[in-house]
This record gives sequence, C-alpha cells and structure tokens, in this order.
Amino acid sequence: MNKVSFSNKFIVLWLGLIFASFVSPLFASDEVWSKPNSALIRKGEKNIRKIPLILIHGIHGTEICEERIVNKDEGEMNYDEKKDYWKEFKRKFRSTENSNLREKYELYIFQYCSDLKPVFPTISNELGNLIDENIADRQPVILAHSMGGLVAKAYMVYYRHSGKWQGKSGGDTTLGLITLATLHHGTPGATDFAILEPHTMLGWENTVQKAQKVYWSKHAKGKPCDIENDSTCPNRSDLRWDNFDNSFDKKLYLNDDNKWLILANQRLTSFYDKIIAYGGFLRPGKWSRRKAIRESLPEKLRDSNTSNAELLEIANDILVSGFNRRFGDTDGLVPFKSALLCTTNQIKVKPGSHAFCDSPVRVRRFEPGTEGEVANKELPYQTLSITRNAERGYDHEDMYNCLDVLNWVMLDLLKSFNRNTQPALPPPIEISKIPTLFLFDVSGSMNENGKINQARDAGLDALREMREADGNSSAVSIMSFSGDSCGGNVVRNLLPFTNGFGQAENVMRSLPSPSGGTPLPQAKDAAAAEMQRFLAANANVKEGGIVLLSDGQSTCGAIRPAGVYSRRDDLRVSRSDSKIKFFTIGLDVPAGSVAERDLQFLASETGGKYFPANDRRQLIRAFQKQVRRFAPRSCNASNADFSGGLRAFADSDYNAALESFQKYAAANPNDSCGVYNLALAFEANDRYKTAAETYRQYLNLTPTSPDRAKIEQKIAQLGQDYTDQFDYFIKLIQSDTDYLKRYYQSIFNRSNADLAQEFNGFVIEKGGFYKALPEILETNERWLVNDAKDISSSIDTLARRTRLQSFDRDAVSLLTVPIAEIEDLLERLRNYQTNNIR
Amino acid sequence: MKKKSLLICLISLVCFLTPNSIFPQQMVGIPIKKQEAFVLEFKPPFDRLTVDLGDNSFTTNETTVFSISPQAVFLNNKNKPLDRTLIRPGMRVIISGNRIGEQLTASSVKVDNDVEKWKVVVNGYFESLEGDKAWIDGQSVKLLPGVTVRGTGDWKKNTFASFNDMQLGSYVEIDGIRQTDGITCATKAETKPNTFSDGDRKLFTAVQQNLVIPENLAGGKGKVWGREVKFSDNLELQTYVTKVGNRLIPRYQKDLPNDYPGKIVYRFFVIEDDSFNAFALPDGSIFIHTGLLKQLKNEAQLAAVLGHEIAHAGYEHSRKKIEDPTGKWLALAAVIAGAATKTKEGATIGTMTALGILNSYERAAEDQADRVGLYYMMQAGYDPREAPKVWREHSKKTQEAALNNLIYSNHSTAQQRLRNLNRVIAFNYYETDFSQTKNGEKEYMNTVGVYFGWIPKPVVPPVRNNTPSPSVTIPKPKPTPKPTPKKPRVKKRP
Repeated sequence: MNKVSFSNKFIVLWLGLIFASFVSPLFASDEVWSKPNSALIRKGEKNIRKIPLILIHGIHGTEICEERIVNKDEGEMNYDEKKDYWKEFKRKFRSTENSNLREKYELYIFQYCSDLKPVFPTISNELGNLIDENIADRQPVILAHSMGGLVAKAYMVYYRHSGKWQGKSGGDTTLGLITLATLHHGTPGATDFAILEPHTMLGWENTVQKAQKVYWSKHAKGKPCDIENDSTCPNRSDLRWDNFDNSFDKKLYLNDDNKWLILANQRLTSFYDKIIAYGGFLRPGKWSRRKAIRESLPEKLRDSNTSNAELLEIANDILVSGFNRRFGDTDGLVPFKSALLCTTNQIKVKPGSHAFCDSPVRVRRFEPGTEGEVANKELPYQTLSITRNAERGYDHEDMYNCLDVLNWVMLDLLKSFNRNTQPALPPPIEISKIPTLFLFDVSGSMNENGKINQARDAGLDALREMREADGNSSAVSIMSFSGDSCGGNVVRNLLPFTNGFGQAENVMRSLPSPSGGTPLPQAKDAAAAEMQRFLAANANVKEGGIVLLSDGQSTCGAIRPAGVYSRRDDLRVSRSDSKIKFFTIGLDVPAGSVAERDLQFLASETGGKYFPANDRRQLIRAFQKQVRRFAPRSCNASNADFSGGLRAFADSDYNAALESFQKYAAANPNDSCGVYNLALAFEANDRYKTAAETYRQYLNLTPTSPDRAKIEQKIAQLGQDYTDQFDYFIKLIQSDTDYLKRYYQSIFNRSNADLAQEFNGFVIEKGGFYKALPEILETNERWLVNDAKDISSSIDTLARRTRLQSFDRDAVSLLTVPIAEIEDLLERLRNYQTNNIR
Repeated sequence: MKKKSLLICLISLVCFLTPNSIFPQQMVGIPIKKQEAFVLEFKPPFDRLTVDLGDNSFTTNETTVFSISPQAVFLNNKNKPLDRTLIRPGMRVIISGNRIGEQLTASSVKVDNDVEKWKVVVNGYFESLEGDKAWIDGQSVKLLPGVTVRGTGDWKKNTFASFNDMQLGSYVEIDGIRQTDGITCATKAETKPNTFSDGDRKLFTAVQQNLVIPENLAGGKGKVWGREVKFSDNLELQTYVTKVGNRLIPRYQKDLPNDYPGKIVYRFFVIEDDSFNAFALPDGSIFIHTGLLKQLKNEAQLAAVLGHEIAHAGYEHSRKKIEDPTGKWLALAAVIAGAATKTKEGATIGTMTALGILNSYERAAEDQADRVGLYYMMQAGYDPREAPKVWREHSKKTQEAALNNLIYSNHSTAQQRLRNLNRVIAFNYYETDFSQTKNGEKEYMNTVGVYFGWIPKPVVPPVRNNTPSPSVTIPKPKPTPKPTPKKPRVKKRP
C-alpha cells in the first residue's frame, strides 16, 4: 500500500483521498447493482418505510476503477469497499445515540470512477438509472463529499427519469442534498497552469506549477501527464474553477471558465431549498511557513512522513499566498466560497467573525477561531456552526470524517428532510375549462383605505365574468393568507374547489377581516399544492390559474431569489411549461419596489401576468384582465393562419395568436372577422392602444355591426387601460433612476462588490425593457425610439464594462449615463403624456 | 446730408469710446499697410467691416471694426474691382487704411482668395445627413452634380454616387467651392473607413484598465496619470455633466453597436479641483474640474467645453499624435499596457508617455475640435455664440500666465481659442437663426448654481410611489443650503 510514490501521496493533498487499510465485509443482506463505471450498494435489508440515504464519495474515493482496468474481461464492475470512505460516518450512524436516524433512513453507498473525461454526464446518468431501477419508490436524500457533490448536482439538473418518475428531473425527485466541501464553483487547483500563471503571485509560479504537476501526473508516475492526448490521465477539466466571481481576469480567462458547471449552477436555482452546503477552511500558515513552502516544496512533498493534514495545510498556503487571497480561504483544496455556493465574490469571513458571503442555500460553516460550540443544540443556518480546532480550522478531509462535522450532519439528517405526506385528493368535479384559485392577502394593511372591500368587489366582478364565460364548466376556489408567523396556519382555504358560483360569491362577500403580516411564500406554496391536488383529481383539465392579490412586501422572505433580477431565457423555457400559472395583482404596491418585483417574478416564472392597481376601478379591471377568457370568431377557419390563430387562442398562447392573425389580416385587410380577432389578440397581449385602433378599424369595416355599442365601450375601456399603463410605466421608469442613483451614492460610501451581483442582474433585465419600450408604450415617436435605444445601449455598456472587483471604478461615470438619459426620457414622456394622453 | 449725419454719429461714437485726454494728440492718422485680416461680419449697408486681425498686429482685441471710407476700393485677388456685397465671413482680406486713435478706417480691402470660386478643403468624419447635405468637420457639404466619392484605403474598390450610400462615421476628404450660402460644393471627394487598429485597442485597454481610477472609490479619491484627484461624489452635478455631454455625442457614434471595436464610450468625470481645466483621454473619458464649472454661466457654455473635448476624443487627436509611421507607437502602447500589471519601471514610463498623450494637441487639431464642438452644440440645440464667452470671461479674469496648469497650458491660449471660435461662428453660422437655440441658464443654475451655493436648492414637490427599496442604503445627502422637501409617505406593514 505504501509503495505508492510521493506523487500518489500528493493526490491526497489535492483532492482528499483517504488511505484506509480496513476492509469491511459485505453483509449478507447488502445488495449491489453495477453499471460500467459505477455501483450502488444498499446496506442492510430493504425497508420501504425509510428514506433512502445515498452517500457519494469524492474523487478517487474507490479503487474499483483501477481493478476494472486490470480485469477488463470481467466486463462488469466489481464491488469493493476497500477504501471504506464513509467509515467514520457509518460508525456514527450505527452508534446507539442515533437509533432514531436509523429508523428514518436506509443507507446506500454510490461508488464511481473519477477519471472519465468528461466524467459527469456518464456518472450522473448511471446514478439516475440505478435509482430508477432500484429505489424509485421513495425520494432519496443524498450526502456527498467533494466531487461527489458535483455528481449529485449533475444528476439533479441534467438527469431525466424514466419509469415511475418519467420525465421528472433528478432534482425534482430528490428530497435533499447535503454537500460536504463540494467544489460548487470548481477549484483553481484543477485549472490549467497556463491559465493560472498570469494570476500567480510573483515568486509562487514555480511552487504552484510543481504542485500541480505532481498531482496531475498520477498515472505518469511522476512525469507530467499529457492531459490532452493521454486517456489515462486523471480528469481535471470538469473540476476547474468556473470564475463565477471574476477572480480571474475575464479577458485572460477567455473560454476556460467551466461551462458545464456554470450551466449546472444556473439550473440548480430551482432546487436551492433542498440543499445544505457544508464548508470549512484552514487558517493560513505563518509567513515563515509560507516562505519555507515557497522555497522548499519538493522536499516536503517527497517526504513520505508528511501527513495528509500537513499536506493540506501546505496546499492551503499555496492557494492563499500563491494567489494573494484571490480565492479567499480554502480547506486545502476547495475555496470556502466554492464549498458554500456563494453568489458574490466577496467572502468576508475572518476567523471568528460572523460576517459571511451571500449564499442562496442553507450552509454550515466550520472555521478556526471560535471557542467550543458543541453540536448538541440547534443553530440556525448561515451562522457559524462550530469550532473544534480554534487554531487550525478544518481541512478538506475533516469535512467528511471529523466528528464535529458529522454531528451536524446527523442533526440535519434528522431534522431537515421529511417525506412528503400527501393528503387525500379532493373529489373530482365535472369541468372542462381552466380552474381558478383566488388567493387573497388579508394582512393588516388591507384594512387601510377600504382595500379589503375593493378586493371583495373586484373578486365578485371576476366571478361574474367567469360565470358568464364558462358557466358551470369551470371550477373556483378561494384562499386567504395573513399571519404573524411564517409557518403553521397562515393560509386558510375558504372555499374548496367547486363549480357552484353562487356559493363562491357568498364566500367572496365574507373575506376574513385583515390582520397580521404577509407570509407570501407560504401562501404561494399552499395555493400551488391545492391546485396541484385538484389537477391530479381531474385528469381532463391540464392547467390551473392562481389569481393572487397582495398589497405589500412579504414578511416571510422574498420569492425572488437573492441575486436574481430576471431569469435568462433558457431558464424561463424550462419553467414556463408550468401547469400552474400565477396571475398576480399588486394593490397599491409601489412601482419597482421589492414587493412588486416579487409578484412580477412569480408571474413571469410560471407564465402568468402581473398587473398593478392603485384604486378600486383599476383593481376591478386587473381582476377582469386576469380571469378574462377570449372568444375569437371562427368565420374563416379553413384558412391556415386563421385556424392556427384560433388554436393558439384555445391554448391561451396569445403571442402566437397575435402572430397568426397579423399574418391573416395582412393578407385579408377587409375581412372584418379577421380584423376583429386581430384586435382581440392585441387586447390579449395587453397592447391596448393598438387593440383600440384595430377595434375602430373593425367598426369602420362593419358600420352596422350589431355589437357596435359594446365595442365602443370596449374601445373606451382600452383607452383608459392605456392611460393607466402609461402612468404606471412612468412611475416604474422613475423607480429605475432612483435605483441607479442609490447605487451611485453607495459607490462612494463603501466597497460595492456585494451589490454588484444584483446590479448586474438589474442591468441585464432593464436593457431588454428599455429596448422594447416603444413597443411597450405602443408609440413610435422618433425621440422615444432613440431614447430607448440609447438607454438600453448605455445599460448594456454598463453590464459589459462593470466587473465585480472593480465595480466602483467602472461604474462611477457609466452609471450616470443611463441616469441622465432616463431623466431626459422621463421629461419627454411626461410632456407627451400631458399633450397626447390625458 | 445722410453722410454728414453718419459722420457726426461716428465722431460722437469715437468721442464716447475714446478717453478725452488722448483725443487731441491723435488727430494725425497712422497709416495701416496691408494688414491681413479674417472677416467676421460685413452686412448692409456695408460701411463697417468687423474682422479678426490675428496674433501679430497692433491690437490684442479679439475683434476689430473698420469703418469703410466713402472712397474705399474693393479688389479681388487679381486686383480687379470687386462688388463689396460678395464679401463673406471667413474670407481672408488684406486691408489698407489709417488709424486715428481707436478709430480705424479702411481705404482698400483686397480679398486674398478667389471670390468667384472660393476653394476650400474639408477633412473630417461624416457625422450626419440632411437630404443631400452632409455634415463633415462641422461644415455642410454637397456633391456637385457628376461628382462621386472615391473610396481609398480599405474601400479602394468602392465608389459612392452620393452621401446617401455612405456609412456615417467614415472619414471624408473634400476639395470644394464654398458657395455664398455657406455650403461647400465638393469638386473632389474621397472616403475611407474609420478603422480601429490593434494598437488603438491596446491603448484603449491601457487607458481604461490601468491608469485612470482606483478600483475602490470610497471617499472619491483617485489618481489620474499619477496625480491625486478627488472625484466628485455629488450625484446631481455628475449626472448633469453627463447629461449635457451625452446630448452632444454625435448620433452615428451612439448608433454604433456596443461590440463595435472602435466605439468610443464617453464617460464624464467631475473632479473637485479649483483650477480651470478640462481634458479628454483617447478612450472617451472626459474630465472637468469644478474650478472650470465655477466660471461658466450656463449650460451652453458647459456644452462648449464638453463638445470640444468630445471632438478631441472622437477625432482621435491624441491617437494621431502618438501615431508613428514606423509603427513604433505600438510598442509604446504595450508599455502603457504593461505599466500597471507588474514592473515598476513600466509604470513610470507609462505615466510619462500618458502625460505626453494628454498634454499637447496641434493647433490644427484644436481648431478642428472647436469647429466640430460648435457643430455638436448646434445639433443639441445650444447657442454656439456662448462658446467664445467662456474664453472671453476667462481671459479677462486671468492673464495668460495663470493658465499654466496641466492641460490647458499647451492648448491654444485663451485668446487664440477665443479668436478661433469667433472665426468658426462667423464662417459656419453667419446666416444661422439662433432664436431656436438655448443657453440653458436656468438648468445650469439649478444644478451647478446650487452646488456652489449661488442659489438655494429649488423645492421639488415630493413624488409619491418612490418608496426606496430596502436592499440599498441611502447615503446622507451632501450638506447644501436647502429647504427640506417633504418626505414621501412610506407605507408601513403591520
């Protein structure tokens, strides 16, 4: 075993392999399933009442792959547990004090080969297949160390189930994931030295390069491994730094950022609530030690007496000093901010301090410097967890085999993940139209200015509208939410789904009297669950709409994840096939405020719409628009465009409907029926002004139309909508300048990098908004077109030229450009509003 | 009778203007022989000729008025008699006459160029198009029928039948005849693309990344070319300067896509410094001192300063200056680029070179920046006649010695700038109706005036619906004398 050369030893240094001579016997009740590059082992008897807990080791955590290479003829992978990676975990798991944990979980161990290139598509696919074939009856919890966390992540975001969970992603069916020192953003230790070099501190180049060479030459026995061409070289490219924080100069880093990891992390946002990330770091060595490392690294490495712990300390010093803290603290292999899945570059962790980077998931931090916390009481996430080793801190190996960490893992396993207990499905109702659930905010502020009465009136109006359109073929449910806490019974189901509209009106007339706070996320989840159950019980309806009215900011955390201003397109696609759409209404919610952004986010994420309302009339109108059904006329259904438009209307795909009828009307400008449907399509897309003009055109084509009076009324209504909308957009644009100005001021107040992330999201979204402004305002005035172009261009310039580290420098003047332009635009818009709209 | 009354009028004017004490000794005229002059104004009834006599003459006044003696002769460049109504601003004339005290009389005015075919040269960027009239180098140009624009450089194979076929922002060289309406008719025209070389890119990168502003601006302290400066943290002031500057940027520049390599991203920085100064870097960074803002009177004057600097950056004057036919300057740019990354020696060389880039523009470049800057002003709706006032005021306040600060020391002196602006206005905007232009005094006072405490901050009615988002802290406003506006009502959740 110890015949291995220093090079093998160094693997330990870089990626935390453990050497164990202990071979655990395979128990009779264990079961093993193999795939070409991996294996899944169940420990003990199967028990379907328990949650499967799958352990996934880090890089080179098993020797099965080496054996497979030797015995190629066997064809199938051998199970072995020679290394017994999870020895400490199992010891803890089996100890008497954890009997309740054994009651809850059934233990599985997943083993895989680490050196495939690329490794994650193959391994995550095999893991998924193993799960589908063998444990798809219960949702598993995954506990993974280091690279194992990336295996789990790849499985969650890329794998699509077959079989019982057909079509769902791995993340959908995963109950929870605990990652221990996982390189969520990769590690610079796996980045090509040519890329690292320009960022290396003077005098450290040699050290860094040597350390890298030694590690990555495992199979070449001490010689550099030709990673490009030699297939036996270990994998590293999948593990390299993703540069999420621009700690490398973007220009120098060019195309070497870790694309698969970046994409995986983007997709992971859907599963943030399932993840607990553990991370630790070592206190860097004294200057004298670091100097010694710089000067005499090779000797230290060749010395087989050097312990793993010491090697990790050396690696930590190389990563910290060799790059001038560019990656912050590390556990010897993985930067702390990578392990914690931070979203900003600034990790403000100092030993003993509680300052902390911004992570979207729950985290447990293990740091040097704080005395004596013990893992026997519940600590909230995100705060400092524990310190065993006040002087040294925690290294990469400690993160899966030291008791301090494992105690917390046990605690989290016990408390955090629970099997979903599904309540019984409601009785089915004979309906064919989309069911609607009304979800009312009845927090205390709804008492002000009679807002609750406005909500009631608007709700009643919406019910009438629905009854007229759908009759009894649609179902409705009413829920309300308010409360001073954020859990328990903050959501009330006032009316289970019914097609009895009379009953619904009665409930609507007696909404609960407002009090308490606004537990918006809880309300959202409860309503979605209720809708989900209804859809499950009524197979003939495929989607449902939730009309959500709120008048203020959530008191129980935001819905929009931190740092996310808008979703990029690729993410929206995966979500907008959502079967449950949220149609949100903000009553008296300030334009551009956090509360409004939450509502907008919820609507855009699910494919619904958001409307603001400031008074009774606007509220009634907002409800009408949210529950509105569009009934196009079907006079020329033999035409392809026409029938396509009708179909799109039936599918509520109003964008496609508009496109079809635009084509049709262009070819048949005098077909009043087509023009009517075109007007309807404009209306459905909230292009009020154009809709009104098109209805007018329809009336000109059919001067004796019997519905003339009704359409005249509609035109007036649309005119009012347009005026209201114009007013709203002026407020929204005003809020943008306010936002930008606050940013500008804060540049001079403090270092701004932690805000820069969110800011970048803002500019990306707003760039698109301003570009589309003439279309949104339905005005092609030359000044507006130019202003819109200029603003989106200057916002784009900001996004291009501001980098996280040097945000202050880059943004100080560029920020004033959109501010100045938007101020000019506002002045012109207000003039235009005065002269042309009111 | 008429002449007599005019004479009386003139004499009384002279009496009014001239101190009585010197009047008696100056009765005998001093002859003026062949004085070169630049015509600024000559209008009906053609009895007063306003000119600029340039640097080397008996007077240092920016403008000089000659009265035309009844017997005065007007000649063309072939010494043939000339109809005086053909004389236009911008023409070079040679004047003979005499001087009695401050009273100047011209007896002979000879136009130095071909009046019937007034040949001019226009070189610059093709900035905009109105019908068939192109604006180039701050002047309007039309193609004579039959004249086409020949491509050179990368466009060697192309010929353009009209300006309409050409790309805005391309470089154009025109030989033409200037018409009485001020439009130049091109007899020969060439164009080449506005290229962006690798060296330019290196220079841009060097300027942008390494030498301008520190990464962390806390407190606003930074360094520009090794000089400590304090960036103003006053949002209103900074935004205002950006706003005015932004309106001056030519449309074609704004319309370039953001990933176009040669796109100049203009950035305006206000520096808290009492000296009278403004300067531009080749990457489009433009700096203006509060000391300069303090001496301006209105927005049009600010536009004049910024327009001039925008023109410098846009016309690549600093790039041209360090351009070297042997390509040596590429190495120079590399040195600058290396300056901030590692070696200390590099930094020093870089800084020195950079100062060189900034310091001096050729006289011709200054004149061009004036021409183009005035054009930008006009385009943005400002009154260009405000531009010379900046320098008139400044030269009145300080003598030239006081101008020896970093940047403007090697510019044309205030006097030269003043004269040049006068000439450009006379030459290009003689028949322009200025009634549609503005000077923006009110706007200037409401921001810059408030900043300096000249006037109290105007009360802005509170706008509802501006509840600040809680994610960003609002810093304390700079203490300026102002009545506190009412706070917007903030909705409170129970």
